[in-house]
Amino acid sequence: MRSSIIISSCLVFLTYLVSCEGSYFDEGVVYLESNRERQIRNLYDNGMMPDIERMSVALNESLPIFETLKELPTAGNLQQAQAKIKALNIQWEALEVYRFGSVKRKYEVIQFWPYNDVKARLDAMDPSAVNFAYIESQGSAVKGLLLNSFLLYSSSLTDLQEHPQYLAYVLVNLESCIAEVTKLKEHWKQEEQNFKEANSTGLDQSQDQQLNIYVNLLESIKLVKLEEALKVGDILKLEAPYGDYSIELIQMNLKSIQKSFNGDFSSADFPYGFDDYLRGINYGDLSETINEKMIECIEKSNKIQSLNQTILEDKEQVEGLVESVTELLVLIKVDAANVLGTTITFTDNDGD
Amino acid sequence: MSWELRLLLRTMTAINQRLFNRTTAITPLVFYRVVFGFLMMASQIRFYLKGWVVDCFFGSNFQFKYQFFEWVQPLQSISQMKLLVLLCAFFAFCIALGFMYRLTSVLFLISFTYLELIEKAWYLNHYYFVSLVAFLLCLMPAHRYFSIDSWLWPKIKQFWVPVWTITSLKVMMSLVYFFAAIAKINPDWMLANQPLKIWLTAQTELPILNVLFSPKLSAALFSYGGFFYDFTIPFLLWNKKTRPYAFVLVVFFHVMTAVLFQIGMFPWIMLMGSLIFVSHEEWAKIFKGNFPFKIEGNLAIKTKTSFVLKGVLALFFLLQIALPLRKYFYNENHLWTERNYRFAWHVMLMEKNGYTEFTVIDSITGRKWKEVPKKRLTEVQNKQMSFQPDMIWEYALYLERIYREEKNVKDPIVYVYNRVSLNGRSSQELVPADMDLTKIKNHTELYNNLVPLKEER
Repeated sequence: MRSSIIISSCLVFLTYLVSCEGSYFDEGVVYLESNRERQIRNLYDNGMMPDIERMSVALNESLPIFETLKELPTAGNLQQAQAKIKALNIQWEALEVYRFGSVKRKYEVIQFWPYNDVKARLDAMDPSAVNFAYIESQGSAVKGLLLNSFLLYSSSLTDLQEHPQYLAYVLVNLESCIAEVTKLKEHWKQEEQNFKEANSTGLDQSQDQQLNIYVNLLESIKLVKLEEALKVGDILKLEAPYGDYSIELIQMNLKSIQKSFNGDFSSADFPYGFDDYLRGINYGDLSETINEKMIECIEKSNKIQSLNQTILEDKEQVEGLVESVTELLVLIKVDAANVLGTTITFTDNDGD
Repeated sequence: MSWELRLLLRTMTAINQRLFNRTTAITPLVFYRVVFGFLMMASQIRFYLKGWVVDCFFGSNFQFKYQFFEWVQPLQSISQMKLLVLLCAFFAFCIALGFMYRLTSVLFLISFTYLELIEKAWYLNHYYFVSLVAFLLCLMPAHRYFSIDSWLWPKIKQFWVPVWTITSLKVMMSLVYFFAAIAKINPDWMLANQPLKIWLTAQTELPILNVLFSPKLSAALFSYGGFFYDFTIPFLLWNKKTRPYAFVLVVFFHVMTAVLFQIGMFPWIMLMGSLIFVSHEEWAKIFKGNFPFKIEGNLAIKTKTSFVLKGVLALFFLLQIALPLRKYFYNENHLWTERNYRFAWHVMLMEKNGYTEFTVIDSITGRKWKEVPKKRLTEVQNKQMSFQPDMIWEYALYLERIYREEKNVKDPIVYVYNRVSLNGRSSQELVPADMDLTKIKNHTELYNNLVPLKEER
């Protein structure tokens, strides 16, 4: 009697499992872990390392332009240097999606914002400050690519001709950036195995960290890169007001999130990304919604030609972009984190 | 006299005789006291070492308060609070040793409960459970044997305790399990096997079940296993015949949850707490000839318990039954609204994430300010608030006060943009974005105005 009750109960339970919507016997742990591994491997091999390498090359190749400007500060050379520093800053924004916790400091010394323009100008005037060792010893606020952009765009040609130390400072600062990018490259080469093997879940695991980077970057775009300037109508609160290319930096951030989310790197044979992972755990709809929202954000940002001008003349357009970025942020921070069981930011408290 | 009344009177008399007039060996209570004391000491030292004194009490200028306990404030300095946490650990240590037990058990209850009441964002079921157990221990003569007190003052040495002492701790444990089981009877847990499906998909590396089956199947097994475990384990522990098997289950279940989920001391408190069910005879059997407890004399002594104590216990347990049942007065998805969610043994029932952003408007000038919570709150506060309506309201009232006092806004209006996702559903609005939170008068009005969950299962 007892055994027949047990057998019947087991049969009822099994029938329930088999008849429920979606099979209980489809994907296993090995499948999930290998998917995570594919995603992380793709990010590392085809995204992060090639992008860092390209950045390193671009920085090295830019050196002669700044050396020429230092030797010969003409309007043409200045224009060329301005265009180059703008391109470098935009290119660097593509690397923001690889800003994992362990390299936070390494990132800050290459590009930091808001920089301390007053101290930087004073330093640039001080001959003893214009050397590699001094720059290396300084905090992030007085060095990096955005600071170079400030010095080149905010100074007139006459200023630069009268104060050649400015250009010397720019050059040493750039050399420092080159050295830091090399260190960053070396760091990731050494960390390759650890990074790729962190294919589980948890705050120290690569996939969770990747999602947290999206959240941080989107929050930064919304709160710091757009709303700070928007609420007071002050373009100096923008990231690159002097060259007026703040919107291009944001565009690059958004495009790099999109590329990383889809694993869509040019050299990838199997572009496995977060979108595929979500589809693999039956959240394909969410993956599509996120992708649609990303496209919407990029399109809205593309419509803004000059953020300086739009902030002052067409606030609604910027507010529209902020709204879309917020919606994208919610989709990642709330919806995606919920289905993935991801912990957003570090909260070391117990739960029950 | 009606038969119902007669039955009630007979039951009361039986309870009175069995629980309050009879005695039993003190051994289970002594084990429980020692284990509870050491666990609590470890818990408080852990709290201190993890730096949570600063995070919890001084991380921001604002604390979320429990209803009716708004007056509970932290001490002025970090060092004072650190000292208090260490003192709390010391009191727990004294409980374990049975030193100045009557005093230290009360001091532990007061200090622990005070620490717990300061910040609602740090609410945990097991903190609440500890306060309840500490309260019960204050009423019990758990120091009369195997304690420094009984060594210093041999006169108090006693091998027996009234039956109600051990029984009330057993009932407390059973209530936790029982209401935790009842809380699992909801469509998310039973039909969708959520949130375990999410958690086991994330936690792929540990459990054997996950290696054998897919996370979906594991989630179903864990969901039903968890429900049946909670529902049956009190009965299995009470029953002498099934108790050994029940303990195997207790160890397996709590070790598994400890390994799988970040739930701190909870599994250990429940695991060790189950020792209260082991009788003196069973301890003697386990230790065989080496049993350190030499219980002498007659244990079947008739004793009396004061009417006041009986009344306190009756009230206590009535409250313990009433609090988890409050939610059934409201026809709503309580995982979504979280009305009466705390103090009701809703353990590990949901994966919930949220996002909030506040707008403060000066109703006279029309000037607007955006308020992002992370600027004023800690990570824990921000995270917990993002999906709990009462905390969102509380924070809105705080903003109202701040804007009145610091920005001289005479009549601020506060709105919230809020999106919440529950157990794998798409995010949706929880607190209406067009509701001026400063005009909400009480919790009832707040909960009655929430946006219902759209995707029911």
